[in-house]
Amino acid sequence: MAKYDTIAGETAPALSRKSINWERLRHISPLYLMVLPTIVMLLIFFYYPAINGFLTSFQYVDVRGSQWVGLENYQRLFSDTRLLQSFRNLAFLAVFNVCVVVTMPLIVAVLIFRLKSMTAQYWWRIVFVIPIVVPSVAIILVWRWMYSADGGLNILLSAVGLGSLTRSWLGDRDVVMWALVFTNFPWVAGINFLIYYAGLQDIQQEVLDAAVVDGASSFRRFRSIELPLLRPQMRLLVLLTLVFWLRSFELPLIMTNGGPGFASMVPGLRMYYAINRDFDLGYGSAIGTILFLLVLVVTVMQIRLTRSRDDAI
Amino acid sequence: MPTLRILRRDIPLHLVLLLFALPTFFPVFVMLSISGKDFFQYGQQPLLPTLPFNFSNYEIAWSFMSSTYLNNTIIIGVGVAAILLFGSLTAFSLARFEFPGRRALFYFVLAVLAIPSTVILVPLFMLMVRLDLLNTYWAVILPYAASQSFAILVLYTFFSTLSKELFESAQIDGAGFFDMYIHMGLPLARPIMSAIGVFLIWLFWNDYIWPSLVLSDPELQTVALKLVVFYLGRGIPEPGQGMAASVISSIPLVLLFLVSMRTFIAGLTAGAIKG
Repeated sequence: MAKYDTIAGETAPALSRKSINWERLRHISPLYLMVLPTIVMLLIFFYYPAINGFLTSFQYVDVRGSQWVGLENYQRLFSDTRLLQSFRNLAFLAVFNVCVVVTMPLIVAVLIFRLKSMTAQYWWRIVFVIPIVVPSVAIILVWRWMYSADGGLNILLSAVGLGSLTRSWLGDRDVVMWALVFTNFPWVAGINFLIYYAGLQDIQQEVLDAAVVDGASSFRRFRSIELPLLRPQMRLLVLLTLVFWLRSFELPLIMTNGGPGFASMVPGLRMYYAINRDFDLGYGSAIGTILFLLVLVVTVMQIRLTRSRDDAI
Repeated sequence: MPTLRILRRDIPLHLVLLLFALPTFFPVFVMLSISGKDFFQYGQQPLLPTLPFNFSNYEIAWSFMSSTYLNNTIIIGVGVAAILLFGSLTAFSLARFEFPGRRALFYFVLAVLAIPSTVILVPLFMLMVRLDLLNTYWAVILPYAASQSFAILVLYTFFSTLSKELFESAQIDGAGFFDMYIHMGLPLARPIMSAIGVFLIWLFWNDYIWPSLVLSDPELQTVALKLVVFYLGRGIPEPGQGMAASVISSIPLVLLFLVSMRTFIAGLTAGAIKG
């Protein structure tokens, strides 16, 4: 990282110097004032809750107050088969969506990139970005209708003569998770494909030209040049997808409330219910702490991967 | 004509892309189609568009949703303004000047990116209870306004790239840190700040979880929250009315997209990579 001297070019006083340079401190004090609001807000609304959540996970909390219970919340957590089931559901959601994010947006990005006309490229990019103007909640509600007993999917199935397959997609514990992951099919809309597209644009044109001169087919060009060079984008999207599914539970909340039974429950949703249904705040904090640790693992992996990549360059 | 031949060679690509686009837009099509159906039209033909298009669904949905627009404007307006103001002040100070603790403060800000707001849902809720802020705008505005780390990271990167000579000459002219922020930092950062702003508006417009925990008062509810309440609440609406409410909830984002397409996409891309 570049060295940022104070503008006037004074060298910063050595920290070991005994006498505080009051003159300089007076000079730079406005800088501390400028960062103060941010620091205070981060302390109150991020650092304090994060620490307090960790502490609360060792407590029993109700309206009268709180009481230390040691590891009891964690013991309950790991002996609750339903909660363990919800972690399996979370793993399913995460793995499925990782598989999706390394294929579908990539295919569309490459297809768009292959178009000869830049205007056509531009408009296809707009086409696949536009759906994000519909709030995610509205999209989920439409899919909720699609999966309902008299909804879109069953209508389509009956129309093509597959009426025997119709069912209440969200009410069947065997298919509900599949219904959830097929929401947003074909999983292209949004900005993931733009990240691949930007990566494709960064590939040196000479490399691609050389491949074309050598008579490489379109597929060969993709497999031998573009795919390896897009690995950073892919890694980024995989990690973003993992973090996204670790922290979000809007989809099962609106679609199924975690049902039928607990068939589509995820830990985040269980934590949500700990607040506004069960008032089991210690237990909810324990789930939050575990999710936090998982996010942390993924984030640290991301930082390490990015760093090793920077070193390579 | 060589161009025509080139275009013709692209036709298979266009067709494959169309195969992806059709299911992508199917939910939007369904939403618009059903939003124009009255109860009987829906009963006879639930999927394909029917005539006449029934606008009374929109009247009913609007009477339910209208109050939420002011709430969203206040909550998102104040929240985004606070992020842009305090975030740019912090990013400018950290990126342009050397002072004791600068590096530590930068990491202090950056580390927050590893704390998604949902994993601190329980303690944040407890904090709001303790501050007695449930069912006030502040319960949503304050956590939003504190989510500055992403904006600071993007602005920090931007401010770091500015030339040093610019600021040196300003300081020789006797400009203070705050003067430099107002007269140099802010004007230069305006495009990138609008991109961040548009991204944040989109992000907060989509937020459902947090408002649903702290805003049970119907008068204060946000668009996304009210939409779900309308669908899944006590008086389940006719399908047409529900879909009309969905369309209504998207209109402001559609307008935002139309007036600021490039900024919108730039902001979202930055958000996806850094957020």
